[in-house]
Amino acid sequence: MFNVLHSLLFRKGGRPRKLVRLVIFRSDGTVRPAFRRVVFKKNGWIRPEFSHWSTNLVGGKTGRVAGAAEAVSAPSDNLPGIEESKLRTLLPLSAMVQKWQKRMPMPTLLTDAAILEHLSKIGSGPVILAAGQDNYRTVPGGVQLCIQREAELASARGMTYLQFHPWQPLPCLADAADSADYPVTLVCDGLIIGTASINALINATALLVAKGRSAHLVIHHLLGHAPEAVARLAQATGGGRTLFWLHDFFSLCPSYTLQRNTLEFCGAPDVASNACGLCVFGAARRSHQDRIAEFFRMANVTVVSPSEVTAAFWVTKADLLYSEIKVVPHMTLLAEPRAVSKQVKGGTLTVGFLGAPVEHKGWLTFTKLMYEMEGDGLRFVVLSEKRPGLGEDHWRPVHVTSDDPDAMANAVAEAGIDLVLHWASWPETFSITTFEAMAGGAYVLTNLKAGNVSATVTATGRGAVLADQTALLDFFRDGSAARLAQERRVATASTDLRTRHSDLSFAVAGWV
Amino acid sequence: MTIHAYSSFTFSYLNRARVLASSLRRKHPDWVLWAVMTDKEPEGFHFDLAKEDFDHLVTAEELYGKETDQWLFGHDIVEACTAVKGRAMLHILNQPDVEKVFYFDPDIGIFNDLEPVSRLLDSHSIVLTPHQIDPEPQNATLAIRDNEIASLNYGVFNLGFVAVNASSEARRFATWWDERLHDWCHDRLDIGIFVDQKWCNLVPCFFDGVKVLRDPGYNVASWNLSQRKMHFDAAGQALINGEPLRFYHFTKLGPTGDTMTRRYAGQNTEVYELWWWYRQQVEAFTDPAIPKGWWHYGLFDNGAVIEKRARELYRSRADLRLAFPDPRKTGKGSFFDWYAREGKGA
Repeated sequence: MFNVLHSLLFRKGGRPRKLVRLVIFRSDGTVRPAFRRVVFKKNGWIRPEFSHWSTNLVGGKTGRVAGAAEAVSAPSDNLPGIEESKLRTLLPLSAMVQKWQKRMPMPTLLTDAAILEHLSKIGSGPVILAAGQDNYRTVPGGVQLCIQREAELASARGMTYLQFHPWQPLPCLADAADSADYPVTLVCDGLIIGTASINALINATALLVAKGRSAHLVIHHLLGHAPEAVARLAQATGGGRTLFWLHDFFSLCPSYTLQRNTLEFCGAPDVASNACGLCVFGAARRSHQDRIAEFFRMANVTVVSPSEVTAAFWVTKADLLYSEIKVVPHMTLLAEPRAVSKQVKGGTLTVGFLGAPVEHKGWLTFTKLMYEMEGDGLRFVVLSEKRPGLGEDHWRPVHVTSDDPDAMANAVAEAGIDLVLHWASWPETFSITTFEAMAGGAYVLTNLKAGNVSATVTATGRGAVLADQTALLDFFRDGSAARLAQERRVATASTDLRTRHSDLSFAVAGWV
Repeated sequence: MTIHAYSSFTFSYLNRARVLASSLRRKHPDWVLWAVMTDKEPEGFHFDLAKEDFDHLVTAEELYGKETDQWLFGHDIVEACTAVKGRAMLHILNQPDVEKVFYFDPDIGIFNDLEPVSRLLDSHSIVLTPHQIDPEPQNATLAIRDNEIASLNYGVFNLGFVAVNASSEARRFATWWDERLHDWCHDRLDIGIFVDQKWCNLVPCFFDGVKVLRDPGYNVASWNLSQRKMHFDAAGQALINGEPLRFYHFTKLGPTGDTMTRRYAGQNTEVYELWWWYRQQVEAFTDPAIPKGWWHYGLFDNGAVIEKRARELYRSRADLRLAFPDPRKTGKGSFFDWYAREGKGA
């Protein structure tokens, strides 16, 4: 019902249909009083589906000129643009932490003896302790998938995989006041065994090691953790190497994608810079850096980067003590010529978006492209967990798990996507979706800031790296996109594509 | 020899002045900061200088003595806080070992050091910042009206900032400024006056060693955003047209400021980030014990608000000033009484 109503009111790309526009808005673009509650939220800010066109005159045509995509979010005197609206709702970090607080009572905590008993009962091999930010079994995401695969790799090696994540999730490190102790939920070989204090886990680990079993620590994420306590856990394992993954840049700033005020990639400048001084994360960053640095000093860290480009960036920005940095890609793309080429397919040029529709992956640019190219014979497909419902031509739910690791690549192939838009606003450290897109036969369009997305496109030649949104629109308008799509159709017909997954942490020689 | 800086405000602007002082203190920890207060504490609030970034407090009463109440009665809040700036500058220049004096409006935030201005004062007596330093294009009618014509009406230089050294020429300026502000610091566009600001159009004519600072990083505000773009470089330095952002004038915090900022910042997102930061800072520095809109000199002693018309009458008529030497006092035979009966129609 909602979808039918939505398509009656709005055109592709979220733009309201002209008739609706004429009913709700005056000719000067202001809202008729009777429809104020329809267009504006209670707090006075415009609902996103109306934001484009309330700031443009009814009947006014957006010229197809350079920069037209940017003009979609242009503010008027009376109405804020998208960025200003986002800032209006941006809370200080302390208020964000308050909003994240769980209301439920904390469960009864496991004792160190109970943890020890559980670990003793299920095996006698090495124990892998993995720090994460949430339960990888229930929360979708690239890091979570990586942990899921790593748990299975451990199991195949006869090891026990104990992932621990903060019982209280947070958008930053746990408060320094909680460094003595805080609750963590334990997921052992994929099953939650309960919640314990981190000190109970530390004690259980120390007892386990004292009994002759080896334990090894890998940090996938420190969100919500107190690094001081995790460093004590590293020491309880016997002082072996701690692997520290660069899935993002949380080791540099609480803003793990390095988005200044959640708006724009900042490049992790000096904490004393104007950029940090004006950023919502700036005030917390200094102590964040100090605490991470102390963790690195205490934990005998080997850094693991999923890409060369990430490692190269990180070493220039991180003033941290570590023994070495290794590059371990999550997967590699294998392309082999087919013995017999398939027939080259024709059809409408299809543009895809893969995964969660979040801004730092380029969702806003995708919707702008949909709007700007409306009527130009393109097909827009979204493959994600939830339906965005903003005017895409086709949506399919896709849930990638370790049981079905190729679900996204297969969906890309089935949907006949020619070009996946991955317009990341930060340097992606790996980008599994880029590899999934390519394994599904699609080419990838991205920008210069996209880290390993642009590095992979450049290295494989499967896509195009464009300067900015203007260049992206021009790429479609001048026929370059159609030519690239045809090129990819020919290449896909004659090439067998698949991905090969790495051994993740186990690829680091001598860790276990 | 020391550098002094001051701001003039009432307790209702203390939150903004605290943002100014803390941002100034971060960049210039060795400067001596003065709060010039044309107000008295509201009940339930105590201004504890030891807990502030300001080093000194000087009140209008200390600057103007016995005439304070009567003189201030002739001014609204903006006129009053502006009128005391000249006398305060003289007061600070007369302190021992003063080398240079900077004035900032309380709604200014400092983002990078002001050493370049300090160096200018080694060779100049007075530094002023124009509202605009680049002309608008011929077809930008609204911007010409909002900015250039407004400057012609309200004053070429923005007197949210002025800096002087301790030379005799600077003292001559401060003395002249104080004299004019004592008698003529009014919002009277009809006779060509706008508080302290319009007077300073004459400064380059009357005084030597005047530096008109045409650097886009100073006194950035909605009235010059049409010609100034902000961005951060790779090191995180805030730049305006490629020059370091020294200070931003957060004029008109609220819907009016929002409208003018949107009109001229457009999609320059960094400017909205500045404003986000400023709102957070002001909120953090707000003391709930100070009633909203508080101004001791804004009320008769019975709590009634003093109307602008009453102030204009009082300052324009010597007979009233003679008859009612204590104009805020109410009761029988008071100015309040007279104004209620006869003043409104006068």
